[in-house]
Amino acid sequence: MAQLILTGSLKNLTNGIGEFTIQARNVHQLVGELKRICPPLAPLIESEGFAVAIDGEIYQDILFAAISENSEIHLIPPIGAG
Amino acid sequence: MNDMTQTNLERALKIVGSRPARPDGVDKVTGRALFGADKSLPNMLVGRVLRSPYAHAKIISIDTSKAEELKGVKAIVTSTDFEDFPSEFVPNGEMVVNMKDITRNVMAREKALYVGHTVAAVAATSEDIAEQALALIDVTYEVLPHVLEVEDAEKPGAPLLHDDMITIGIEPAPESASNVAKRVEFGFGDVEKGFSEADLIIEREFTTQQVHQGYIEPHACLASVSEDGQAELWCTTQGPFVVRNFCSKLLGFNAAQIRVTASEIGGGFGGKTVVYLEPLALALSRKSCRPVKMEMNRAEVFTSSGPTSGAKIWVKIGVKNNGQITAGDCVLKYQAGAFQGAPVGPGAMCAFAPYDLKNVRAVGYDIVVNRPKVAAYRAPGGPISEYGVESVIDEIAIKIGMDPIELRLKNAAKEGTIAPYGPKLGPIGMIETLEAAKSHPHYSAPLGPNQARGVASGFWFNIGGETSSSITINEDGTVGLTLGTPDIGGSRASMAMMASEELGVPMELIKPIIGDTNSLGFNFLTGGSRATFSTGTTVVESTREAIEELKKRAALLWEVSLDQVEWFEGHARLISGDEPKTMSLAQIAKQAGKTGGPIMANCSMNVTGAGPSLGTHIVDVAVDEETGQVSIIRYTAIQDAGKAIHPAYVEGQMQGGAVQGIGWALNEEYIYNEKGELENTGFLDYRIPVCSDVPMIDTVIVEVPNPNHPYGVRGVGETPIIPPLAAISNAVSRATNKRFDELPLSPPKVLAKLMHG
Amino acid sequence: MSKTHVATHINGDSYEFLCNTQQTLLDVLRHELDLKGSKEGCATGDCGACSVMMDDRLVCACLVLGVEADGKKIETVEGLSTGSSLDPLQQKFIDLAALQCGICTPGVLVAAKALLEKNKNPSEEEVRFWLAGNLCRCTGYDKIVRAVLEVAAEARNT
Repeated sequence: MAQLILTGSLKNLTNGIGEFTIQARNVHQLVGELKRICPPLAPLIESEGFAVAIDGEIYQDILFAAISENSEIHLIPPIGAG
Repeated sequence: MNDMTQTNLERALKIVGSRPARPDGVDKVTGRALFGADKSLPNMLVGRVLRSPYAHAKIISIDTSKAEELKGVKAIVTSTDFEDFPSEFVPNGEMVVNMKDITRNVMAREKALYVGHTVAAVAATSEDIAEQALALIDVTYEVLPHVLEVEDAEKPGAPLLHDDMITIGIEPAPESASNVAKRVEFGFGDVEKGFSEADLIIEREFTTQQVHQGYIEPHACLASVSEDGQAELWCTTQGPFVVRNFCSKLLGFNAAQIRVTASEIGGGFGGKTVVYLEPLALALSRKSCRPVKMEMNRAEVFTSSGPTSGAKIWVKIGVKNNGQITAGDCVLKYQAGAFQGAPVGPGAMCAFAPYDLKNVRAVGYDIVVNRPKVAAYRAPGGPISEYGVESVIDEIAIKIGMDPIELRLKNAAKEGTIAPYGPKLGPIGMIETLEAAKSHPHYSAPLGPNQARGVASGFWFNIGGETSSSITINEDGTVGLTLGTPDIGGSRASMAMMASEELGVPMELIKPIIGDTNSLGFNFLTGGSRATFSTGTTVVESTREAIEELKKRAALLWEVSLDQVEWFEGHARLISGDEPKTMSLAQIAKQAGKTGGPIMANCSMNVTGAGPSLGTHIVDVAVDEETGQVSIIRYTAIQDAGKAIHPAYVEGQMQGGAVQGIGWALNEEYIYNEKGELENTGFLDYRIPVCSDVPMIDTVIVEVPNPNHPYGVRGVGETPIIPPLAAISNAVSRATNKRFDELPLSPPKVLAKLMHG
Repeated sequence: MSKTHVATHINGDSYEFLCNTQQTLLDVLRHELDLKGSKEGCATGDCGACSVMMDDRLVCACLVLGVEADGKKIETVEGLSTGSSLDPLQQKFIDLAALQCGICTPGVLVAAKALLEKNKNPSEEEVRFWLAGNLCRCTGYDKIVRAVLEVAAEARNT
């Protein structure tokens, strides 16, 4: 099962829980899962521009980026471009 | 990983890595190239902006009637001509913006929030008449107390810029409004435990001032809206598609109605990623049905565009006597300007990112103040936070008697390191740049009297994003490339080089242009060190697709199956058969019409896999203890480029970023008076480095390839502005045996510290 | 207020135009004469993007009034090349990548040419101080200075 790992102030949204087991094969399904198990996290990806790091690779707005069985997932806030 | 890429990392390259002339070079050295203010149209009007004289004021009423009667005035706009929006974050490509704030920054509504804030705009038949009209607009203000510094803005009872601003990221949410828009926190492990394991802890507070990107070309645009609502916009911008997006939303156009053409751009560095004049010019043009040209003068660029944050930074690092960092902690308070959106998140994310830490925490606060809304400036947020961390690392090195490069090597992040913001890093060049610095002759060169040497490293993420480009094979076998990312620093040369490498034809036969917003799918802007990486990826992919089509045509003409044809050095080549058969690109192209039609390919994708770029800089300074003047004696910039497509332009990014950092470290700052008016609104007193201020900037390009780009490219544009701040501060500290903790290190400040400690 | 009639020479050609007394030479070049190669970066003589030669003297066109051009010899970036031959400075800037965005380039080229006409063998320091009035934000000046020094060296060797 893939793991979503949360650090820092993101844990404010999850009552301090830092790890979620995720059953999702892509980011689109991840968002759906989050709506089910931890609703405050879903808007981060859907509308606040958060990127999803899957096994270290950062995917910004890639709904169908693949999540594998043992993937480690992180949420990354938007990075400005200068 | 971009699935379509096959990397060329092992192949011997013919043109990638060399230094050919850039295709737009002649136009630029002859003055032929057209920048934002260089275009005119028949029947054109000139637009000018009325700006708030107050740092903070309610706008009670605006009466434009007298101005409207002035002969020659053809249109006036105020907030009634712009849509209002609820507070909501919406994407604009890979950028996320709050349209409620954007519309108010473009045109003030209830309040003026900084001196220079747009309150109205006029289009008239001449600049003189437009200026006279501005003076005839009657604005009634109710002046309010203002606040300029983060620590003042945080205090209870401080003047409130937005009375509905409830800090996000604090649990439980505050009950009343404040000037703190957001709190963010990154990190993992247990910093308190880490500090308890340390043999030495250093804690320091730093202050940086607001600085401007300092592009020499002011904002300028030419908008033309016709009677049927179709709009053409010519503007100097880092992102024409982003401009189209902003302007459509602000003015109620749809994307098909506005065609944006990016002019050549005279510098941006992040400052031309948002809109200021463009929506005003479009609104005025729509009202008058005549083209409207608008330019900012230099003072307006400083007061009314988007500088970057000034900040307060607190850093605490614990180490063991052998140099191992046991914990790193920082708190960052960044000025957002009039509306939320300081780059404190990225600043917090990359503060400690050059290092492999077990216990790390970075907390950031986004705080509004009565200054212009900040815009991106080269690695937005990074230089500020990394200045604090790199300074404390240097102080630690001195205290434990360790060489500052060795100390960094001992703690260096590498592939597999968990970044402070969570994920594991892929291959990066931190160690490689440190080793290159250590072995560089500069590092062991003798120092003169009153001279000292400083070192610092820097990390920036780099981004990919939505990109679209196309390639056409002309009937004579020459090639056209249409790119969607404006060329600020020579990137169109690199694109032509990559296409040349793929096709096996000389670069001189390839003409790259930047297309308008009708020519391509959405392109996110030039910025984030993404152009050579992202547009380069699509150029390579579309070129490979064109090659497949060229092979198909050869196969048709030879009456063989496609798998018997390969592409080699500009030719289709028959793999099997007794006699060697080749057909040049030109020969295939000549028959394209008869073998299926014109040959063209495009690649549109959301490019992923950008790799961070690490840099380490070495600087020698001399400090004049009588005047406080700091001189840069010698400078070496070392950075990981992944793969330098055109080394001269990679060097150029490193040198330009380093010198901007020198300015930020030594001299640049916004100076406000007690009325909140910016006092240094010109290049005389907002002094960026001039030619005689700096020596040659030596460069070393390290190449740790990024496996996610066909040629291994990493973005390089932003990282080089990060190391100079601490490198110079560290050098000055070592030269004077005092620990400096504020920027800029201008002569009065250096002198004050020398005299009073 | 009536306009003033001005007759001048620019890049070897005769020009006549009308302008207001408050218009600068830069305004006139760009708006009356469509010579857009000289750029406005500040309009206060601090950035040098509008550098032109007036009677063989390097000036900021934004600090000269249009009416002052009457009877004078003006040289702008547009006059650096001859036919299809680039001035050695122009060619060298391309060869050494001494420009990135290109906005400061016209002014820098005019200023550099003025230096080399006065001093055939400038030191690095002399080049840097001569060009101190031409701001560049992209290049950090390194490749610009190298280009000027190389052109000077090549001219001395021919």
